Amino acid sequence: MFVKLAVSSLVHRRLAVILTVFSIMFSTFVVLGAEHIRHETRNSFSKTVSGADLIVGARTSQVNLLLYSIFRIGNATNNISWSSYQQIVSTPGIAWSIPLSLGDSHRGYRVMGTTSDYFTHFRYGNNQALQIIDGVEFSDHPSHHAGADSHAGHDHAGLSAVLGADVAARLGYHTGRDFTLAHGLASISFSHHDDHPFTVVGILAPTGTPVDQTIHVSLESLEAVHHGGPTPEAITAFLIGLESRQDTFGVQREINEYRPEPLLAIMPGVALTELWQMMGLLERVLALIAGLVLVCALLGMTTMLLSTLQQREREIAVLRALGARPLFLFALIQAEAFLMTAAGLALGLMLLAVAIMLGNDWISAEYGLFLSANVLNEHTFPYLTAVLVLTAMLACLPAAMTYRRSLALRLGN
Amino acid sequence: MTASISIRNLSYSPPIKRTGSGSVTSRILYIPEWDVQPGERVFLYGPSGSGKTSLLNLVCGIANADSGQIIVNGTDLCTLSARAKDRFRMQTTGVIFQQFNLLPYLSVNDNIKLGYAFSGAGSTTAVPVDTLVKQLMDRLKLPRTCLHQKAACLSFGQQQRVAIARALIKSPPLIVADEPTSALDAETRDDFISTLLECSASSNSTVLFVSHEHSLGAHFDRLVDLRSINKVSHSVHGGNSHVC
Repeated sequence: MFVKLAVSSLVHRRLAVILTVFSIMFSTFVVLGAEHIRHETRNSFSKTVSGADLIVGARTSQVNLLLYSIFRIGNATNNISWSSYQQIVSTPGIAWSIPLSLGDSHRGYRVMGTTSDYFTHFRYGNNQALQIIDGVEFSDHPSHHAGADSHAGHDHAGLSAVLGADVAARLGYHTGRDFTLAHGLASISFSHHDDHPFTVVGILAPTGTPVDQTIHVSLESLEAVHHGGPTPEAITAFLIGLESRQDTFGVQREINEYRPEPLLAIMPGVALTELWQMMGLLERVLALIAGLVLVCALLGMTTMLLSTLQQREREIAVLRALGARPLFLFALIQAEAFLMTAAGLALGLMLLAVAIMLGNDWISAEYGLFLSANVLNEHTFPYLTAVLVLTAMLACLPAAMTYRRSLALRLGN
Repeated sequence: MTASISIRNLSYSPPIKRTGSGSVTSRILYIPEWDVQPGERVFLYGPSGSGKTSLLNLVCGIANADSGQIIVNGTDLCTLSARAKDRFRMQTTGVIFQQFNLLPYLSVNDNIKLGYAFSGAGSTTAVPVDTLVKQLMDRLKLPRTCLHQKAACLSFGQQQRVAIARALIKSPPLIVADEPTSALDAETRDDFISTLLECSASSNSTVLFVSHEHSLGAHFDRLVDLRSINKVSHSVHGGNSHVC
């Protein structure tokens, strides 16, 4: 009867209740959305780089280099000449290197020129290697005849590409499919490389990193498309693996002091930490705003409960006359507050889960972020508990007023 | 057999209302001796402000006396804790108000069952509650179709009948009614009173009916003018010196 009483009383005042629940729902959405995205971003970012000791690019800020080379966010300010690359990676102590060349796209997906070392040495997540689930890797030297043949009879055999899992799934491409590149990043570009079609030769297993959003081709085929020559002139960035981790600082300083051109070598972990520091203030401001929004919603609910007390005086009198204890009435108001908040939280979580599921493709394509739709986890749980505790505290005001009024209540007027 | 209500040396002052100019406690009831026998139907009348409702509050255990004894059904209310009084009221007394007896958002069925809701232990009657509700509805000439309607949908006369049903469902030894007919027209009023008295007779309940309308007294066994049992007017000038 207690629950029935609380529920019917809320249904009776449904307009005010629905508006209150909506305000709690939206503020839950904002608070948990901000927290979830923050958490997933960190998770996703730290999963993306693994294995590489240094990232090298044209001189810019640490964070910028990290963002464009690994996360495909933003663009490089300048290139690295091929000769500098060759010279640096021949330094003793460097175990392996992966050149990266960015700048072209196909239907909105970034095309990255690299070498087969990418498949050998690139690591993500917990030191996991890339896996080809369908087809083969591209070969590093396709253009020996492809370069010549393409002038003769558009024979494109040899220009091959390996697709990230998302690219393949979203575009519906299978191995054997031909496509052409566009210069720049827009999905509709006026500058196409139509006379140099690529063929899909392999598809990678999903990684949950920007790799899934990338089309991988060999550096030489990319050069064939741009310059018609087999030797690359420049690359955007490169990753380095060292024989010994202890050499990291030494090699980093050497690269940073490299004379022929201004370069920057960064340690991915350090750059990530700097990124989090930059984001930290923003995150705190966001958390503060989200928290205030939530408090406002809960204050709104308290106001609603208080404003209805006057009209509920008769109700309270009836319940008292029937033998309800003042504590029962205190609990009744608390229960109504709890029900409204719980409904608001549940709806907010559902809204967030649905929003993530619907927006995931766009977010991962646009920002390389992979958000899990599991919003009810160990990170959101403390928030839900805190909100319910706060509700109980705020609802004490109307509940205590009801309690006091019911004590002073008399029959008659 | 013990009396249903037995009052001795009862003294009552309403709670102090805090005002800017300090507070004055004025006693409004002093009843040296008054008894109501079991099954008796008492019509208590008096002008507005004479303390009728205060006496009802005391008998129900909602208000606390300053001093004296109020023995209802063998229990002295003044010795009970607040919690015990709430329990006692639930078990012993059926209350019918002037108006707004029902919770508008509950169905008629739930409103009647609310009479049971605070018993904690549940009902121990042989008849299931649902059957009891239907029997009461029939006796009170309430159409069964309104059983699952919201209380707010009923006419006022019907709502007051539902209030009788709720008061009667636990077959209380005492039914207390505070001007329940003041918002009814003459015909509905007589109908209401006769129904109330019929139903309370079948459950052997004592009825304490309060009204300022002297004309209604014809239906009752005994008519009591509050002014004849309340001796407080003699001590108005004596002030606090009269407290027992």
